[in-house]
Amino acid sequence: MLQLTILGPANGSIAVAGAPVRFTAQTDPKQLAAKIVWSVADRPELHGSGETFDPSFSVTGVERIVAQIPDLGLACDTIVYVFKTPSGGSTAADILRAEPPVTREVAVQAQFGSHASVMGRAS
Amino acid sequence: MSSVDALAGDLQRTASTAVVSGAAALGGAAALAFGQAANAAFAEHAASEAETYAGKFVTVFAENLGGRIAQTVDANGITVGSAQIDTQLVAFASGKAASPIASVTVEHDFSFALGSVAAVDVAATVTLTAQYVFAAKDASPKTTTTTKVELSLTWQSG
Repeated sequence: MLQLTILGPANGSIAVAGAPVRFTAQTDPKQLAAKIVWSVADRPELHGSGETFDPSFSVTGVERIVAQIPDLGLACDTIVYVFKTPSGGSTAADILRAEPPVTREVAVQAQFGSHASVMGRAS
Repeated sequence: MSSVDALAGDLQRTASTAVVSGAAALGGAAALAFGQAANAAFAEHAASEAETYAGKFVTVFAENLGGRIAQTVDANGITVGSAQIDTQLVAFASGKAASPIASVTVEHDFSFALGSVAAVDVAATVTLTAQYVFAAKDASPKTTTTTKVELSLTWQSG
């Protein structure tokens, strides 16, 4: 069984704009990690590869982050809620002052979930 | 002035108003029995409690939400002591709500004896609620506050 799992941040996590958010994924077997491709829904400028992905978001909104191993058909995703705060902090006081989101159509639910598996052997 | 600072100011003013109103109500109802001394004692004690409210607001607003699950925070709110923040983080980030924080409520109980005036215990609950609304004209945030003061008197005779 070949497996891909997004370890964190957890689905629905709160993040702030302007600072990198680290996403981490794990594969089984481990050597598949080099094949992980990261993307952010509707943000083609944000992409990466490997076990970790550190995108930085610039505005308030909902972001769907996808980890895939395309040639194996493995895909996971997770949602983060981003708040652009004046200080870059994430206290309740900071978030109260957050800028409103830029209107953009993004799914507010993960479509694949944080874990995927497929029968097969690593090549 | 930021909306948070305005909120703190509003609530402090509201607390002060509540104290005066509570004292006045107590005075009207019980002046014959206790006189102005009791009224003054209540007002003095309650006024000192306003500092406690301010402290709780600061604590609640300092709660770090980074990394927490938005849906969980929205479902449960943020509770620090008797202070409660109700949030709508998911709706706000999705463009479906005007403010990430819907309301702030602080409930505070205090009781004290009127000492030598009479064998009377006075207990009071002051509930302060601030709600965020946005002006239709310019979408600027406005804070509205409501206050509820409940007093109970216990007389020990003999």
